[in-house]
Amino acid sequence: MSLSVLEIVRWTRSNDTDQIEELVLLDKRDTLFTKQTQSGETGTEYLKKVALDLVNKTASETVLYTATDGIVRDGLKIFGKNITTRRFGGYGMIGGDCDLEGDIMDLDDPSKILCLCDGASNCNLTSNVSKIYYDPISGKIITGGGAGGRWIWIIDPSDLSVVGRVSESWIRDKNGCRIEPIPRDDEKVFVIIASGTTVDTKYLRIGIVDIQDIIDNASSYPNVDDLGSWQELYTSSNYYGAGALNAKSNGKYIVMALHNGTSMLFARYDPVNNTLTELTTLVDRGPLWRGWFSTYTSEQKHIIYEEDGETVFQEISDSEANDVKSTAFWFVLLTNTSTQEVIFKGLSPDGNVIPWIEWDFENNKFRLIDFLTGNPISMDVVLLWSRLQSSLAERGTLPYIANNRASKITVSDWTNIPNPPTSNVKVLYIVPDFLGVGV
Amino acid sequence: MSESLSATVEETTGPQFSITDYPSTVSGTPSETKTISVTVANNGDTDGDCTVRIKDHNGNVVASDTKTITAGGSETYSLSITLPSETGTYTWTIEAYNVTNDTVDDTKSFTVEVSEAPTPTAKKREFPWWIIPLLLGLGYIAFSGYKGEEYEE
Repeated sequence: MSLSVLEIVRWTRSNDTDQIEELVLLDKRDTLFTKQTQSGETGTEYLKKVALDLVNKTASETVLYTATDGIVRDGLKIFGKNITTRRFGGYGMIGGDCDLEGDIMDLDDPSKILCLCDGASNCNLTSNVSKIYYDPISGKIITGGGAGGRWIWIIDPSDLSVVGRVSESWIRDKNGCRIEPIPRDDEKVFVIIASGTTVDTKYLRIGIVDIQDIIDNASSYPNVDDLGSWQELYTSSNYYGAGALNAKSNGKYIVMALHNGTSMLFARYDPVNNTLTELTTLVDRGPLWRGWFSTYTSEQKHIIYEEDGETVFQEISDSEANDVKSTAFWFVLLTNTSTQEVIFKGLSPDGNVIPWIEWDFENNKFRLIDFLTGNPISMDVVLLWSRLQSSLAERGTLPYIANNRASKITVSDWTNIPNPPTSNVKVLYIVPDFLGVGV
Repeated sequence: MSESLSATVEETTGPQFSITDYPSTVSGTPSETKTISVTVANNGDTDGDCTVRIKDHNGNVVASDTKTITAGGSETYSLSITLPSETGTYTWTIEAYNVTNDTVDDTKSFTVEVSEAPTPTAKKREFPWWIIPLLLGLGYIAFSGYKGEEYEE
């Protein structure tokens, strides 16, 4: 397998800024949702829908919403058999309809915004959202709390209302904290809790809890560590969270962004050995199965890491990878802030195609297609199961595989969708196996 | 067709077939060929191939046909069978064989009646109505003769 990075489209964005174009959600082959931050944290932001012209390899933007800062950052596509496809984004907003509050926005109708607050007169973004998942068992959205956030929110997407929220006993009354769930291949989630650098105390805590326990008790606003199914795994007083934790799993490890009081760092949590290892590379990563995809902008190259998140599997030179970027799984947005050109690229196993998944629920089948042409392709894929649905977004993650609910198959044509392993774990992830790593 | 990294899926049963219409009795003469109709419905959630098999009283398949039936749909099979050469009453079976799952999803039985061809019935002898006036005539003649003798004094 000769990995390379291929260009999909490029376009010149409508508003000049020295900031990154971020990938909120890759909805389908011809539609992206992105956000553009103006210079500085207090600049106006734009939430955009980008229509891709895959024939002429260009794109056009439509601005959906503007606010002083924030709007949405993590995207969710609710998608599946007998489910109405819907698209949401979550983050915290300054200005706009949810000033200093977390928010959930319906991307198909940005006028539908749910403003989140913990009840204080000035929420000060304690309701900030990072991570946004769909639970098809309960039909609810489950969020994580990003920079400043201290709540896991349970949202009913049918009417965009709050079902309840869950915090943690130490961060519950503190601003500037983080709490993020990471799905597994069963009915549980890891929950990672951390203080922020604006809090005096370094605080990192990792546990595991039943998703149903969160759903059942959210209406009484409990602490996650007080729930009956809470299982303590790891604690440390050596770290703050850095910005959002932006924790992600590649199936085997969980990598998160931390801060040691002096500088930001990435660390790898190994659930099998319950250990946390600091990584020497300071790059954000998109999860591949047992690997990671990222870009060293300073060295103008893309990097594919093996599962430890540090060992380089392959480096791919790219003279355009010289500016800020946004990585989501095996896709990357490169932004040239001098020319305002945005370049959307994808990882290719052979230099010709970029794998993508097409689903046919009517006939209960799926296949691999080339993102560039839509033509069917043949490739090894890994099938992963989870209770929670994550999407192809900058902050999306694969489920951590704790119960061997992963299998690898070669897909060359329409292939039957397998039956779920249990009645409450029925979200299927299909991930191209770029690295050829065994299951 | 739709696209996404992950999707919520549901457990599928595949095609599931049931026999919804079939004859309860087939009658005929020894070795006579008959055509019967069997309707099969697919109650599963995917399309599938169903083979309808007719088995005789010895368990031998004497007729079969395979059709693709869409999920939620039904098909009618037309099958020719040859009745046994011996007269009698037999019980035969119809099977709906699920090709996809390699299972027999439904079985029904029906009666086969075989009898000899009916022989022409002898024409019923009519009552000889003509004999009545004859007898009456003869009786009158005899009776008249007797009375004549009786009243000739």
